[in-house]
Amino acid sequence: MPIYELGYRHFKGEFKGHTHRFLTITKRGVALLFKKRRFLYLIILSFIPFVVRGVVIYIATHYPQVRLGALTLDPKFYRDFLFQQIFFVLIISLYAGSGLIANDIRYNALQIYLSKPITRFDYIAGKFGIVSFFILLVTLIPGLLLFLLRILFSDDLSFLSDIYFVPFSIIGYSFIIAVFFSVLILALSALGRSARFAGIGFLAIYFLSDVLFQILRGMFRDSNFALLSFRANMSQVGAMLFGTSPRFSPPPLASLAIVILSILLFFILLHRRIRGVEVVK
Amino acid sequence: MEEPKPPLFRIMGDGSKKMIIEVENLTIKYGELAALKGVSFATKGGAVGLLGPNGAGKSTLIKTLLGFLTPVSGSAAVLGIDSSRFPLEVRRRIGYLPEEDALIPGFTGVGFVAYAGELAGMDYRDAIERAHEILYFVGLKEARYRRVETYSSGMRQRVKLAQALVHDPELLLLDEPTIGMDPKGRKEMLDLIKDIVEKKGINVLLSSHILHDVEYVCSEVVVLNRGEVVVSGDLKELLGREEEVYEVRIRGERDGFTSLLKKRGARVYFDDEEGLFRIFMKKEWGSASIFEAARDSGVEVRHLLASKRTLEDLFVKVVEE
Repeated sequence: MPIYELGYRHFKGEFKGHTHRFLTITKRGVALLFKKRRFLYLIILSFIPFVVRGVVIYIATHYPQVRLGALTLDPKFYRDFLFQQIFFVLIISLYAGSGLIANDIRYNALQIYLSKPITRFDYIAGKFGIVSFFILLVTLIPGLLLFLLRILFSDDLSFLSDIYFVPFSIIGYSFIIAVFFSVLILALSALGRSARFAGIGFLAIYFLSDVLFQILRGMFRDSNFALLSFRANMSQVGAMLFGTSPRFSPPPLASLAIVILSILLFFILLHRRIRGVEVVK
Repeated sequence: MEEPKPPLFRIMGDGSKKMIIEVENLTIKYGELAALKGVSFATKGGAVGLLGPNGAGKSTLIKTLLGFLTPVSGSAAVLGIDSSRFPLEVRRRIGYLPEEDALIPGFTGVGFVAYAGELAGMDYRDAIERAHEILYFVGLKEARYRRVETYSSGMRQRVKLAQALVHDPELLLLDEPTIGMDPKGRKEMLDLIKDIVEKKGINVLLSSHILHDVEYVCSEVVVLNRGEVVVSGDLKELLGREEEVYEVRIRGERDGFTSLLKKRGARVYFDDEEGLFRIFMKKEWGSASIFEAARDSGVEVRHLLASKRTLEDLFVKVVEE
């Protein structure tokens, strides 16, 4: 029947269970971002380091006589790749995450979400899924693909016995990066109605903590202040997961503890900001 | 985590009819401040108006019905389901139209309403099909393909109604549904709500400051003031109860006439614009008592008309008391 001949009809279909309700938010959010051309270009751009490193793997495996400077295909190669990807992670988090909750607050969309049969945890999980999907897309996927390329390009697989753990390290490091940056940007996005404010706060927290570390290190000649820097802590955690030597003196486990603690604090902040009672004003 | 399954329905009151909303001795506090104090009422269905001045507790009541607030004492049941124990099940079966402009930017009308359906648990295909139907039903025909940010305020009200209806709720909570609409749009919206209630069998709780809207749509009314129910029940009965209203114009000293009527127990209001008294008095007194008061106070009655008691009259009376 054509739509103009239809009046209101009662819905006879089934309702899905509540368990995966948050996935709806993630799916729609991801689809909306994929429709934005500029964002698509950004994702494509973030794969350039992957292509470069893929070429390096190809050259190193097919032309061993070519000197690649300090580059060797050891666990550090993969760790460095993921650490470099943090640059793109920052931009993607800014673009995808800074307005995710701020815009909902600005347009009163929380009233729409929370008046539906979803909990605020579902809402947060759904929004978290959007940012972390794109972060994992530019860290986990190319990281694992690089490892796969190494296997595909090599005639001799004996190297696997030395770096068999690397895929797990890639998974672990990518997830830590995804969770940390997703929760941080969402917590800041939930603080107000301005995506711009969230974005500035995000960059400030990440970079100013590093500037503070550099100043204190310069003043006291002590790299233990690295614990104050999110950037340095991320580097330390990467070194720990890939079994490479850390850049700074504090134990990497302490850096991991700080990263986990930060994630918890940002999550608590985020959870407190999303309140069902504010749905009705 | 899945919330436990609520009972399918509960037989209330006389055992024969399920109440749509049943609130029993409900007390809600924000810290020390009691926003609702032992509120009790029950509605059988149809369209129910929720009225009250600012700060009366209307929003708190709606929050409680949506399951966002836990009572200090008492209970609130929607469609027989305790809203504080089973908030998700309640929210699946009701639709909520917020007072404020509430949109999810980036979507077209269809995308937005379909998304709302999916959030309510509908499959994507069902949600998109129904979004088209509902948007057509609320009057957003070709506009349903436009982005919601570009909608006028009237269209925004309609799309908000559509997102509240998409999952076919049994009860609609409408918070100021005609706000920001022009008179034509407002009339269309009210007719739509009336149609939803009378022909589609969906119950409505209509919270509005526009008493005419409530009077036009609702058969029952609940009036809150300072966190308490001051009156509730069938609107026709309430308006027809106890008092008669007369519109009177006099020549002579107004004050003496007014004070004499008041002394005799009538409520008297003077409309400066019209130059008319509205006099509310007990049915058994009849219009003769107005002539008596005029004679006793030495004024001349120039115009007397038996008028209808409006919801506004009732509202003013109960809130003043």
